[in-house]
Amino acid sequence: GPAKSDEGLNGERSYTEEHVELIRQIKRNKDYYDILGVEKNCAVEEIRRAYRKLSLKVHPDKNKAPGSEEAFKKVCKAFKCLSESDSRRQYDQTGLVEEFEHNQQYNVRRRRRRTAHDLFDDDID
Amino acid sequence: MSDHGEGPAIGIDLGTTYSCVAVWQNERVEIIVNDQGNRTTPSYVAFTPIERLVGDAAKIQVARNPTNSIFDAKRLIGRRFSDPLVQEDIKLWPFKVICGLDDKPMIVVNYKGEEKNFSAEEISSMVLRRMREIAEAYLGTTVNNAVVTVPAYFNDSQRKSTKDAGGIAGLNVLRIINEPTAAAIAYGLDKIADSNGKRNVLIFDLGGGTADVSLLTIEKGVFQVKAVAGDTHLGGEDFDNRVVNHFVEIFKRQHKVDISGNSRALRRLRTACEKAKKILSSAIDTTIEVDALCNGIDFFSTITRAKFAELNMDLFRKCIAIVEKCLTDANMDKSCVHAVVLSGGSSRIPKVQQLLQDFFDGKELCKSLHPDEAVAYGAAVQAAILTNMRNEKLQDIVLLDVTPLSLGVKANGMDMNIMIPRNTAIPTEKKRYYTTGADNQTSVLISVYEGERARTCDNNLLGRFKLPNIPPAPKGVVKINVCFNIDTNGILNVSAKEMTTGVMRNITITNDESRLSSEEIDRMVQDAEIYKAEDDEHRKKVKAKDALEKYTFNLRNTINNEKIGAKLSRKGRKKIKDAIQHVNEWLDGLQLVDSEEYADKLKTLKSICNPIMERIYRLN
Repeated sequence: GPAKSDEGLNGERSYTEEHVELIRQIKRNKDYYDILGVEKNCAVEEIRRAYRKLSLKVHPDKNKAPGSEEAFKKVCKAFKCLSESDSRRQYDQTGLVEEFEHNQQYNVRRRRRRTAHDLFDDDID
Repeated sequence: MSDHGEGPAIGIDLGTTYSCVAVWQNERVEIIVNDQGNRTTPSYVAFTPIERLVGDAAKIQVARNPTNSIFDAKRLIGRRFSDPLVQEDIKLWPFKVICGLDDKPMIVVNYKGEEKNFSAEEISSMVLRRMREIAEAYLGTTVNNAVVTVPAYFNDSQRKSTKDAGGIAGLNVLRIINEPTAAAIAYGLDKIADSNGKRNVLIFDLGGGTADVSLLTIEKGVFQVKAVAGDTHLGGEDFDNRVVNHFVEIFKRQHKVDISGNSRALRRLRTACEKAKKILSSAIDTTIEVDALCNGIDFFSTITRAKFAELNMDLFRKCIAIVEKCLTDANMDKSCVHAVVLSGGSSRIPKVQQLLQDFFDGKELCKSLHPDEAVAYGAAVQAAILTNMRNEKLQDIVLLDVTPLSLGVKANGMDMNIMIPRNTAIPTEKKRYYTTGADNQTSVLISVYEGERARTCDNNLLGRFKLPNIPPAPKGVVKINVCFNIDTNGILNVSAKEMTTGVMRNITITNDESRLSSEEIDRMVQDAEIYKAEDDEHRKKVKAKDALEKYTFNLRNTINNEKIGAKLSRKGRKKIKDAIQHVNEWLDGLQLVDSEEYADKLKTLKSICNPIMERIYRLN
């Protein structure tokens, strides 16, 4: 099997083939369910469990392989979307993967502004 | 500064009033005691005509030297001079704070007869350096790496300034972590093995200067922060202030003397009040006694626990409001909280505990953490995780933290357009399209803010940059992709790209005006080395003086000894006595001088006395 991960001295961290493969797998996937490795009809409890397990293997503090940060962001995004029933339902129906806002108070204003293609018209000056 | 590989990594709780340092060693966390045998060290730095003092030594002499004894640097760090909270604090501090460049507060002290200005970062760096030295003395090795904690509700500038302070102290700051989160690690570490289910834990952290609440879900080693809330200016010192004001009024009534302008009297009264406050956590009443408080009048009074609570009730209620906000943000009902954990010295206050318990419908509070040490404990665990310590206990722990404040850009003239809402898990990334607001606009200015208010002018500006060379087009046509990226260290990077031409600009938000530039930090690192060298030089002088005094003392004992003295000739005895007297007079009439001068004196003294003494010993 692959070498144990923590052979390096302090700071000189190494990582395992498993770490690299996991990142590759997450990067390949577009679908949130696939990213978390759960079934489409699974219970929210299972989504939480998958997120927890992936965190321990993908979070940059635990995984020193290149690209872990990007991979972890993807895991977070998937979890955030699927862990709440409203956004999960919307994802299931439309398959839209961008812009799921969860902090309740900001949503109202922004939804009103956003058009279907996520192009919207805030000015910057 | 960045030798990651060197030596152990420590955890430092840099507190408003006290600091604490810990290290992971032999499979567990060790809280490190300082040279006074204390497990916490006052976050005090004092400047005197002859030396610089940090920690216990600085706090002890504060009543004697109020204008040059600096504390509360944490209440200044990363803030602007014009901040109303800073202005309020300045009124209470006995030391002087002036407005420096770019609205940066500067602390003015007199050190070795010279006026000097210090930033809050520099003062904090002196405390951090002391904590590092305490760890080095204990571990017997150099320490370069540290995890430093900050209140969860610290904003971006306060966090980065704290990191700068670490840099000035010569530390490589591995991570800035939130105090309540650190306390949560301390709470959860021992419970990982024996708990299977998910636990919602609320950490209530009330310290000397700040109040923080953090709600986490802990499940088999995964510490997931759900929400944080807090007040960066609410804590034990504010409670002390209320008590001080109360007694200033009483003193005025009793003796018709107003001491509110007398910094020495106020300082002594404050020390007494702080002590009384602590006693009131166990006793129901206590006395306040200050001899010769003002105009030779001895002050004596009493205070009950109930009176203390009454004086601070509005502040205590504020603490509960923070708990409520945290739960609301996390979208969690209070009945779902499995454990309410206390941390921070002020969490000992019975009335605070009672209000908290009432809020949670009588739920028993968890007091198993040491309130003064839990934060440093958790920081040490995180330091060990980040340096990849090989340990079974640490293998399966990960900390998933969140951003405390919403981040966004200015749009439509003055709107705060939020890109990353508060309490978003980090690292994170968010992209969004924007467009121009006027016809044929050729550049856009992107201003990045943090805060919860709807208008940017009420929030905190983190930085701004310009995206040039936009092709002329009617307003609303150009597409600009703005991307916010926060890494594991909480460092925000903002980039913007015009989509048709591909012109791209980005900034890492580090060039906030009130922050130190890298040149300034370099200068301060050098200054810190100079101050350290001066401290060392001072210690060397004291040691040399001590050696001289010790020698003369022993010499005198020897010649006064009956057996030996009897063998001395009268001439020899007189010669030695004169030499001793000469040295003693020289010592008495003198401030501290160079160590060489003491060494010279010692040499001369020895050259006079040793031949005489040797002759006696030879006679034996």
